[in-house]
Parts: sequence; structure tokens; C-alpha cells
Amino acid sequence: MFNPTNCLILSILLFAIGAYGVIAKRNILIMLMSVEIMLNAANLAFLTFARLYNDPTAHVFVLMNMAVAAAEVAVGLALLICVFRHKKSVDSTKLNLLKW
Amino acid sequence: MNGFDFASIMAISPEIALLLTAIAVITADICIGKAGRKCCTAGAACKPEETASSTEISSIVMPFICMTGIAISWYFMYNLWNLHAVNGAKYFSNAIVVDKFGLIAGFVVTVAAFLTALSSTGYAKRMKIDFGEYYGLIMLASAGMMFLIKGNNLIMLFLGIELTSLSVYALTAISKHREESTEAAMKYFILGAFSSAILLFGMAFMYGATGSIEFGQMNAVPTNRFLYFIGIGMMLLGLAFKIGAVPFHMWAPDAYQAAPSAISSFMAVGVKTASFAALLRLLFTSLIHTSHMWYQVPWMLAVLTVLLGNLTAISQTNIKRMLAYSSIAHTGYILIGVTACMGVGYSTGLTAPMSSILFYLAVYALMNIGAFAITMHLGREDKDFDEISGYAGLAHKKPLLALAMAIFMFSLAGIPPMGGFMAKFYIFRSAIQNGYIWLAIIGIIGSIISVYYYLRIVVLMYMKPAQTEEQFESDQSQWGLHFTLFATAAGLLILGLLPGDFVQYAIVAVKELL
Repeated sequence: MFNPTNCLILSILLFAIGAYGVIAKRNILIMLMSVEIMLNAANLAFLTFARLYNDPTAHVFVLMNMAVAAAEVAVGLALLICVFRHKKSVDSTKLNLLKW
Repeated sequence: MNGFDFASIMAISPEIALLLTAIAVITADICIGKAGRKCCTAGAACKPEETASSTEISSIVMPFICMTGIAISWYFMYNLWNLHAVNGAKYFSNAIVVDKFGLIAGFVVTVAAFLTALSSTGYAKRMKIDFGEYYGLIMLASAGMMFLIKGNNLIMLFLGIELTSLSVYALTAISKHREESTEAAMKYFILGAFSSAILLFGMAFMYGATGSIEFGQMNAVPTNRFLYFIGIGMMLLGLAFKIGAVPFHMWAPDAYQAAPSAISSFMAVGVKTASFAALLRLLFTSLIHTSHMWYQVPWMLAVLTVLLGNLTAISQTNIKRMLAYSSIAHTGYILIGVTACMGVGYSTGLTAPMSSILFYLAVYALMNIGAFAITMHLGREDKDFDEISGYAGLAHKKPLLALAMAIFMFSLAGIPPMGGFMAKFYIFRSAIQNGYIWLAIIGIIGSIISVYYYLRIVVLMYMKPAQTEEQFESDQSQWGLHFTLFATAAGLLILGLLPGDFVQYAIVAVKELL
């Protein structure tokens, strides 16, 4: 049985979990993973509506998003390696060289 | 038009030119640039002179390839300008729209990329930046901005934003041996990816509320208000981050300060122009009909951005950080123009504010690139000349350079006869015409505050003695920077004294969008 309300609630929950992870966690790796969860929450919402409207456009959008998410994580991990070489840490509170 | 016919390919020919240039640059880097480095790692066969000459060659060849590619894309844009532009022809299943609005904004972006490449000729070598990645990413970012400007549905909007942002994150960290660069890039990336996810979630809800992702089709009366307003709110939040509006501006000062100056100005100008163009297109094709219900949101954003940007800029001691806060303030002025479009009758009151936003973006591009070019010009070794106190006495040692800096500062402050004055004048006038008197007053208060921190630099340059004898001697080849400074300063004077022509083009372009 397809119930759009449940799917939407699940996607909002996933989004909230991801947002909590980015805001509250101090480990940059976990923040990156949380961003991925947020992107996938959006994908789930897209697919729910696509199913609801019987419209293939959003499926295309979701495929594009997956590619974007992969590219984003590649750049993010590369930056993280750069940061790690300097700081020897993946703790976001150590990013304190620049302020105000 | 749905197929991949010749006209469709021509519609994205400027972007294709930019992408091919990116590939050409990376290939050239493999052929000439890396040869020197490989020879060094191999050890025995290495001759220092060979490495040096290889770097010398690629430091000239690479920006030259970029500038050629951009010139080719200008040719294609000129063709499109003459061919089209009757009400915006759409291609690729309505994913791409070609109209004069997009072509003008795209021209501003590519001019920024051109000047960045030109001014990096000596600069990239001095900063010990790897040329291939640097110029390749600049080209990729400009292609992303062009797609962002031309996009006519949410997919293109999101892909354009991501292509631009991912390139710019990497460019921020391009001098990866500097700790603060990597740190700023990491912060920028986390916040950027976070806001992209919010933007995407907003798009999903927007699609849910209106049943379409195409710009022209989303203006049906929303069936579900809850979904609709969550969608609009989250999309505005994501875009507000990209343009650097308060309270989503915290990445900007860090990124602008820590990135090489050439990249800071490219970031400030290119990303802002492209995001504002996309925001305007989104607003005026899809969202304007409900704007009387939520125009308070951009109103608040504009007020906060103008005031906070200007007030924080006062206390800065680093000129790049000051320019970052000033660019936040300028985002605020443009947001005043965006707000002025809302709540008024469709298409009657929109021409003036929207054309003045286009004009503002063009002027802003010139003055910002110029001001950052000065910090590149005076820098030594792998640093930019970014201490404000260091500018004391510049006018006595380098009068022409100080004159150029004074022109940029006067223009940023909005003092006639510079372009910055006319740009602000148009924006505030359109706000008053459309009944946003208070918004205009707050904007004027903001620019009065800004006069203090811009003119402080002029006072330092002209009225204080220099600290040491040779602090203004730089050690790089300067012809690219000289040309950039001359072009931007001259452009500002021309736009300030004779703004009519550009404004006419902007009005024609905007009328077509509406």
C-alpha cells in the first residue's frame, strides 16, 4: 500500500535527523554523512510526489541528485584530508583560526 | 523544442565553449605544466632551469587559453543576442531558456572570469598555485554560473548551483599548504552543502505543492498552502545562503579572507551575479503572484543584511575581510531592489527595480574585482597585501595605484561620479517609486555608514606617511593586473558618467523576462 503521508513524514524525519547531525555533531565526517541523509530525505520526498502525480520528471531529478551527492562527498572528503593534514584532527571545533 | 537539433546546441554554445576550455586547460597542464614537476620528482634528470621555464610558459599559456575560450563564448553570446530573444526561446524540454536577461547576466559573469584569468597571469605563479586545477576550476565554475543563469527548471537551478559551488569550494582551498585556506574552505563546504540540502528539500515541497518543476508552470494557485510555503521558505533560505545574506553570511568573511584574492573577487562577483539572476528568474516566473503574502521575509533580510554588513565592516583590520563584509552589505542593497519588486502590480512596477539590479550587479563586479586586484598587486611572496594599516602613504610611492584604489573605494561608497553612485541611485529610486520608503531610508543610512570605512583607506593612502621604504615593491609580472585595474577603473567611470546605454539594454532585457 502506498501512503504518501507516511512517506512524507519519513522524509521529514530523515531531514530532521540530518539537520540535527550537522548542527550538533563536532566530527566533520559525521557532518558530511548527515548532509547526505538530508539530500536523500529530499530525494524521498521527490519520489513520493512523483508517485502521487504519476509524473516521471521527479525521477530524473532524483537521478541527478544522486550524481551531485557523489560529487559533493568527493570534494568534501578531499577538503577534509587537506584539513586533517594541518590539524591532525577531524573535530570541527578545531577550525578556529578565522573568526569575526 | 525537444530534440538535440542544431538550434539547441547553439543555445548552450557559450557554456560548451567554457567547458571545452576547462578540458583544454587541464590537458595543457598535463602536457606542459606537469612536465616540470615530474622531472623534479624523478630526481637525477632534473634541471632547475627547465622546471622554471616550464612554469614560466604555463603561467602565460594557461590564462591565455582561458581568455581565448571566454572570448569564443562571447562570440556565441553575441550571436544568440542577435538571433533570439523574442520572449526567450526554450530548449531541451524547456530546461534551458535563452533570453536577453540571461545573456546580460552571463556577460557580467564571463567578464569577471576573464578579468580573474587576466589578473592571475603573474599572481598564480607568485602564490605557488597549480595552474591546471586553478584555471580549470575557474572555467568550470563559470560554466556552472552560466547554466544557473539560463536554467528554466529546478533541476537546472540545482545543478548550476552545485557545479558553481563545488568548484568554488575547491578554489577556496587552492593554496592547500596554507592552514587558514583549508579551514575556510571546510567551513564554506559544510555550510554550503547544508544549505544546498535545505534548498533541495524546499524544491521537493515546491514540486509537491504545484506539481511541476518548470519555472513558468509553478505559478498555479497552490492546492496545499502548507507544502507551498514550506517550499518557498526553504528555497529562499538556500538561495539567501548562496548570495550571502545575513543571517546566512558567516561563510563569506572566512572564505574571502583565506582564499587567494583573485578567487575572492571571482567568488564575490560571479557567484553573487549568477545566484541573483537565478533568484530573479525564479521569483518573477513562478513566485511573484503570491509575494504579497511573504514579501516581509526579503524585507527583513534586506534590512538585516544592509545594517549588519556595514556595521561589522567598520571594525575590520584586514582589507579582504572588510571587503567581504562590504560585499554582504552590497547584497543587502540588491535585496532592497528585489523586495521593491514585490507586492506591486505584475509587470508594471517591475521593470525599474529589475533593470537597476542588473546595472548594480555589473557595477559591483567592476569595483570589487578592482579593489581585490590592488591587494594582489601589492602582495609579496605567497601573501596578499591585506592589512589596512599597510596602505598608509601609498599615494606618495605609487600615485596611480592609489588613484585606482580611491576610484574603487569612492565607487563602493557610492560617491558621484562613480558607477556605484548611479547603481545605488537607481535601486533606491525604484524602491521609493514602489512605495518602500523605509527600505530606501535604511539603505541610505547603510551607505552613509559605509562611507566611513571606505574613506578611511583613502585617508590612509593620501594623508599618512609610509611606514617603511620598500613595502610597496612587489615581485611579480604585473601587466595583467595593470590592464585589469585600468579596465575596471575606466569601466566604473564610464558607467557612472554615461549609465544610459547599459540601463537601456537592461530595461530591454527585463521587459522580455516579464
